[in-house]
Formats: sequence, C-alpha cells, structure tokens
Amino acid sequence: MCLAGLVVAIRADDPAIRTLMLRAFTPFSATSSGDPDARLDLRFEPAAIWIDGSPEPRADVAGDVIRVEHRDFVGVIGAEGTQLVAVVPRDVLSIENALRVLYALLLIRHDGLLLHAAGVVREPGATVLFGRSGSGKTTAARLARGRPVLGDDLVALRRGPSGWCAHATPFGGLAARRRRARSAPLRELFRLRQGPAFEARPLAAARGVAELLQSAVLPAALPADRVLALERCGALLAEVGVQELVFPLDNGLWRWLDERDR
Amino acid sequence: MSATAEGARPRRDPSAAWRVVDGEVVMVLPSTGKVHTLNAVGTRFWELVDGERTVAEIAGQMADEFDAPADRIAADCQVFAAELSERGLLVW
Repeated sequence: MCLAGLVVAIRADDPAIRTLMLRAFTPFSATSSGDPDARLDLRFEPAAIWIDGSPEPRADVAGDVIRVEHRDFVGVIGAEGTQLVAVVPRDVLSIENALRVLYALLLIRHDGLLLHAAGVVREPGATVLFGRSGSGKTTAARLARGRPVLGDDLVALRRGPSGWCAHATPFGGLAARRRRARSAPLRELFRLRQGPAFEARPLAAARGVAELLQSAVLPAALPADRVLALERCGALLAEVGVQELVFPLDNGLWRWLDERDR
Repeated sequence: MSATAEGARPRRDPSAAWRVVDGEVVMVLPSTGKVHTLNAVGTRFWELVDGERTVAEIAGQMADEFDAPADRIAADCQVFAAELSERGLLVW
C-alpha cells in the first residue's frame, strides 16, 4: 500500500483478510521492489477482544514497543514506528484503523502529518480545511461538487522537495476507500468554523500552530512525536500559512473561495 | 515541594513538548495531550524557568523587564507557577 509516497508492506495470515485488503484498498495498492517504509502484519482473531469503546486508540509505551488498543484491534508497534503487528477481526474497518495508526506514526517521522481535515483540489493546488469533530469538514467536502476530494475527515500532508503536498487517504469508510490516491500541492490551510457569513482571516501564529496541532492525529502519546508534530505545524504555518475560515452551512463555500481569489 | 516554597528552583518537565512561535509558547500537556498557548508574559516566565532560579528571582527579573510593580509580578508568578505545576509542567 502506498500513501503520500510512503509504502507499507502488508502481510496477513488469514486468506479472508487478504481478500478483504485487496478489495477494499485497491486505489492505494502498490507494488514495490524496494524496501518498504514500514510493515503491517495482520493476524486474525475471531474472539471479541475489543473492549475499548473510545473512538481514538490508546497507546502506551512498554519497553521498546508501543502497545495500541483500539475499539476494534490491538497491536504492538516497534518503538521506531516501522512495524505494526495487529490482531484484527475479518472486518475492513478494523484493518483501516490499524493502517490509520501506522500511517499517522509514519507520516510524523517522514516530514508529514495526518490531519483531521477535508481536502479538495482547487487548481492550482489543494485547499485543506481542518478542525475538530463538528467543525464542518464533511459538509465542506460534500459541497465541493465536481472537484476532486482528497478526504472529508483525514488528509495526509507531507513536505517534498518542491514544498508541501496534500494527499488523499482511504480512511473514513467506503467512500474514502474508493477515492483515487491523488495528491496536489498544498495551496492553503483553513481552520474551519461555522458562522453566519463567509469570512477568512489570518490566525495569530501561536494560535495557528496550536489549532493545527489539535487537529493532528497522534496515536501514541510519545513526547518525541509531540515534538515532531510541533515542528511540522510550525513549518506549515511558516511555509503555507494558517487562516480561519468562517462559513455558513450553504452551497456557496467553494464559489466564495473562488471569487475571493479573483 | 510546593510552588510557593521559598528557595524552590523549578525546572520544566522534560516530557513537555513546546516551542516558541512568534513570541508565544505553544505546548502540549504531557498528561493529557491537550494543546495550550502562553501569552508573552507567560512565555517569558516559561523561558526563565531553568532549575537554577527561584520563582522570586524569576519574578524580580520579569518586574525589571516588563517595568511592572514587583509585588504584583511576584504574586502573579507564584499563581502561575502553581498552575503550571498542577498541569505537570514544572518539576520541583
């Protein structure tokens, strides 16, 4: 699998899980002869071992490994974040959650960030709208009719030789998994907020970094990861900028953004 | 040791992730992962916490730098140090 240029080699001992994987993540599948950036070893467990009902995974450092508990999988990640052994049921969503954790860790270590955001290609680049649950990400993506959507909940950002790019992710259910694995140069970053009228305004630097950081996916509460995330958010602020976008829930969002650029 | 104990020399919790952005600290609380920002005054206090100065010494330096009444700055610094301690950001 390849996401944001990062290749994860996936191995599954269960034929049914292999079939699920191949069907579910086809747009993001990749063949690579080189060394992968990480490995995911999926082990089938039919028993109902999942007891944690929280939407976000819990991660604890135990010696040289990170132990991850999610509502539908448990896993162990090497401290360097490049190998995840996950015990999963035969369920695509569980596999997706394991992949999401691994890619969040990978991205933070490879000049990137997995962000709770909607991403829409608006030539000449991608507009990324981030915010916490209920801020309007899904609505904003839904309103982008006819424009390529990179994500309506999670978008991968990664800095390359020519600057930051936004990348589609397969995370967020069936529609996300069917999305094309496309990328676009990151054009602008908006913190979304619903309000009575359209308005875009710059955020103070520290607040911009803080808002970005709050929307970053950091599955393991490792101090080193938090430092890296702070660096990434600081770089995004300096190199792309962060604005606040107030928008009412109506169809005019993307038209308003287009007109604002003219 | 409490934040108000005379002679105590607080240090920043080394597990707290933070950086100064345009003159203000952005930090992640080690215990909860929540993100906080400090204003310019809070940022200066945080910068001066080094394990070698007492809170009173930090307050004295800040009173000079901000040209503010020493007794008021001293009281504010004690309260702020206690708040940071409660959040696990200072080690005594």
